[in-house]
Amino acid sequence: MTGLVEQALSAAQNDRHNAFTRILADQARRDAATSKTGRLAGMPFAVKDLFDIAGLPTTAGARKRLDAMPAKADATVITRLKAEGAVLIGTTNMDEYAYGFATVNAHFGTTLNPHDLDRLAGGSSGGSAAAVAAGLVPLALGSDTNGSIRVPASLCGVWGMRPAMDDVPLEGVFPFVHALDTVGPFTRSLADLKLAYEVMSGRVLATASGTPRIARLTVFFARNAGPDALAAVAAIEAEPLDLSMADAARSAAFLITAAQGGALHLNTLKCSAMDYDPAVRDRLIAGAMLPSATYLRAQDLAVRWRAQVAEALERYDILVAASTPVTAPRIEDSTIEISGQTVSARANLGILAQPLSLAGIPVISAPVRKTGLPIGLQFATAPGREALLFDYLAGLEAGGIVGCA
Amino acid sequence: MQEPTHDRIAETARALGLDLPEACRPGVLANLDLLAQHAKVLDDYLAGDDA
Repeated sequence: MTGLVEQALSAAQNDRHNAFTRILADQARRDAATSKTGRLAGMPFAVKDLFDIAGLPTTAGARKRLDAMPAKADATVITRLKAEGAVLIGTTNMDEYAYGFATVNAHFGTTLNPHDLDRLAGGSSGGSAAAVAAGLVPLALGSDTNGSIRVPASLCGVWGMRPAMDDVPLEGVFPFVHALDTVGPFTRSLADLKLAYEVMSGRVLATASGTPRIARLTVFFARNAGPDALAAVAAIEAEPLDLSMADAARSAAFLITAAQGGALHLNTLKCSAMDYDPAVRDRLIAGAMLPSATYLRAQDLAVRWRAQVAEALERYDILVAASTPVTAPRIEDSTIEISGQTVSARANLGILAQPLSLAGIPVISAPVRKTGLPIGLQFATAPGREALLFDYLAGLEAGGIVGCA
Repeated sequence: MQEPTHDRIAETARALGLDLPEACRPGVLANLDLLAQHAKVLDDYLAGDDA
C-alpha cells in the first residue's frame, strides 16, 4: 500500500514537467500508514493548487497567496477521497487564479506537456493533467470553469471530467466564476474516472441500459476545429446537429467570466494590482470594467442557450464535439490558427469547451486513440444521465476508439 | 458596447476606485477590445432573435 505512495513521491520529486508546486511527503507518508481501507485504498493523488489543504495556504497559483492564512480544513472533495483511502501527495501548477488555458504562470513557471516538452500542457489545470499523463499519479483533481479540465485533458491525452453544475461540492475550493465553477478528476483509465467521480459526488452509478442516441455538434464546433479535431469527431458514429446559439453562447461565457472574475478580484486589485501575473491582471481589470448591461445580456443569453441544449438532450442522449480546436501548441508560439485566423492560444484553446460549460451539463473529455500528439473529444449528456455516458464510453474504450496511449 | 478610449478607461477605473497603473493600460485596452468583440457577437445574435 505504502509502496504506491513512495513511488509517486519519488516520481513527483524527479518530475521534469513542472507539474507540481508542493510535494507533501511527510503528510502523505503519515496518511499512507493509516489509510488501508476504502475504494481508493492507497491510491496517491494530487490536487490543483486551489483546493484547501488543512494547515497550508491555498495559493490559487498566485505568489502573493503563499503568505495567505492556512486553510482550517481540507476541501470537501479531498475529505471524501481520503475517506476512501486515497493519499494526497502534492499540489499542482495552474494559470494564476485559474484564468487561462495554458498553465503559463509568471510566478511558478510553465507546465510542460509530457508528450512533447516544447509544448503547452493546456490549462488552467495543466499541472494535474501533466502529472497524470506522465504517470506520476493515477488521479489528480482540477477545476473547470470554461474548460480548464477538458483543455489540458485533451492536450495531455488523459481522461477528464467536468461534472454538472452543483453536482460536486465546491466547499474549500478557491472561487473564480460562481456561475460556472466545477471541480473534477483526471485519470488514465475510464474506470478510475468513474470511481473518482462517484466518490467526489457521493453517488454510485447504476449500469445503464439501451442504445444511446448520439449527436455530433456541427457549424460552430466544426468551423472552429482544426484537421486533427475534425478527424477525431469523424471517428464517432453520430447524427449531425447544429445548436444555432453556440457562437453567442461562447461569447456569453467569455463575458460572464470576465465580469464575475473581475468583480471577485476588484478589491485586491485596488491595493495590489502589481502583485498579479500581468496577463491575468489585465484580463481581470478589463472584466471589472464591463458595463452591467452587457453582463445582463450575457446572462439572458445563457438562459436561452440552456433551453436550447435541454431541448437537444430530449432528442439525443449524448452530444459530441472536439475538446480543443488543435493539438498542443508550442510554448514559444503564443497564438493558434482557428478558422483561418491567428488568435491568442491563452484565450482560445477553450473555444469549443466554453459553450458546454455555460449549459451546465456533465462533460467527459476522452483521449482519442491516434498516433502523434493527443487530442480529446467532449461527450456531454443531461444531468442525471452520467451512468449512460460512462457505459457508452466504456464501449468506445473497449473498441479502441478512445483511451490513453 | 462603444469603443473604449483612454479617457473613458481612466474614468471607469476611477469610478471603480481603481488607480490604474500605467503598466496595465495596454493590456487592459487589448482585453477591453476583445470583450467588445464578444459583446458584439451577443448583440448581433440578440438583435436577430428579437427582430
